[in-house]
Amino acid sequence: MTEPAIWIRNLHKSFGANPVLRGVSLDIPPGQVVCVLGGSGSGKTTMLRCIAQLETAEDGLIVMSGELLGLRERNGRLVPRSAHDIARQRRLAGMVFQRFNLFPHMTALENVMEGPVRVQKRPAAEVRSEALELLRSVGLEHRADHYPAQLSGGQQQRVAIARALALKPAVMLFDEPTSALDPESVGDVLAVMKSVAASGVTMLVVTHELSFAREVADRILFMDGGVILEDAPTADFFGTPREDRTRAFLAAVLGQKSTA
Amino acid sequence: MTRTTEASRLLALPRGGRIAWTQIASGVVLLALCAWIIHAFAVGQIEWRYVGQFLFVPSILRGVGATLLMAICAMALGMVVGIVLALGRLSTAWLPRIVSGLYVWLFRGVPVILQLLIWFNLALIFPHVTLPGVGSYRTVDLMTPFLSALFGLGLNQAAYIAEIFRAGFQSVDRGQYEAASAIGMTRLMAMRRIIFPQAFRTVIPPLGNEFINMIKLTSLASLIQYPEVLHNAETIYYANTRVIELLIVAGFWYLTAVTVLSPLQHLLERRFARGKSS
Repeated sequence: MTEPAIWIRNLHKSFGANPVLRGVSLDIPPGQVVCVLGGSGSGKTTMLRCIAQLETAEDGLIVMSGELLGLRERNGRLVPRSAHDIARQRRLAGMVFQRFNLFPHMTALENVMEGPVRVQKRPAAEVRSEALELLRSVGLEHRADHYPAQLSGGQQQRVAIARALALKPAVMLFDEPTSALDPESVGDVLAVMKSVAASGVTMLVVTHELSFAREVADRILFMDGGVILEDAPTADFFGTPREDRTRAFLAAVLGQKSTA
Repeated sequence: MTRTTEASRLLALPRGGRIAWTQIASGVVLLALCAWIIHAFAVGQIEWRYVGQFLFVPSILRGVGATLLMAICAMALGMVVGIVLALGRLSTAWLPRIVSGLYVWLFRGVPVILQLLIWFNLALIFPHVTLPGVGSYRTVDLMTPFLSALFGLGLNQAAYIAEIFRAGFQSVDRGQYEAASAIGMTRLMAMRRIIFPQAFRTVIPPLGNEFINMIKLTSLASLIQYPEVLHNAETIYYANTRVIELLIVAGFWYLTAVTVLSPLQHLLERRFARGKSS
């Protein structure tokens, strides 16, 4: 069996007295596209942020691309890695945020080039042509010199995807990438995500877009109360959900969609 | 009631403005007041020719230079210390937070003039200063008026600049730190490339304000014999007793310095406004 792209065991995380993750375990093989569904407070975003090392789990382990994240073994104990090492590990995955978080003082092109040039210290000329190619692939080469404030939400999110892809990560993490968008832009962003999925990158997508999940995902996770309640291939998940809680969730979301 | 037939006729009428009687009235009052003040100064006991005579004498010009030099140096010291303090204040560790907090509390709480006097009279507390590896010095020789004024003004300024930068750093969205981390930046690089440029554009207006304040604040250094423009003007009027004339000369130069600086601030603001919605 091939090494999984993401391997998670027994992940626990709480904010204050409030447990958000209560023992998450997961294997994602390379190239798989996984959508994570669940109500608010189910822990789906926190799990993603732990993988991106924007949160530190209290217990449990994550291995990504053969590296134990955030921790290392020393004298028979697990100790935190250095800040420098963690910064390096964060590049293993590209992260796309709900609110885009583009750098407002840089143009679209500069946003995409920032990581490869400043962090990876690659030559600017070479990165520039790659970055323009990336912007073309998200349909925004004509916006390369625009600042984020001059772009629509959907355009900003596509630049953000290009920025994450610029570091050539093996894994892409999406945290509700279309939740902050107007309905017209959602389609453009989902189309870009579809083409990323087709390129063979491992994807973990926290989303509320059921039709996207149904069409693109290989596998669906349903989270509830800080655990993965249901984990099934896409067709089985939508066709024959096992858990009552999943059925209730699907009924609520699909019912809401049809009345809207 | 206006009938629509009547209204149709009104459609063709030209539009006039409202006459701003209150503005006209207050304008007249203000003009009269200005005329009265100018007249008072013109017929008052001021020998204007002395003002013109002393405006460009070498001692005054050297004073202007010293004033600007001190304002720039003290501001630079204040910026460096202030930014470090602001970072300390926002640190996740408690020690830098407490140290920064204490610093700001102390230096904001004591009048500047008192701080200047303490630095100038440091020799009374520490007669000798030993710099490891350099040697031992008499504090009286070390604490020249320049250094005393620099420390007094600069370190006091740092407390205010720390607060300005703290607000500046806090105004940057948390998502910016996260996006910078996500592309593999270390804290230092994220600070330098992402956070600082965004914080800086919000702190330019208050910093410009502080610099203008600093130019005027340097006049306090005249008290500890630093030869800035007010000190040199005083030296002249002790000899020739043209007190008001020389104070006007000094005032003219402060006003000139501040007037020249304001457009510079605008330029800086424009430069750092990159990417602000247009």
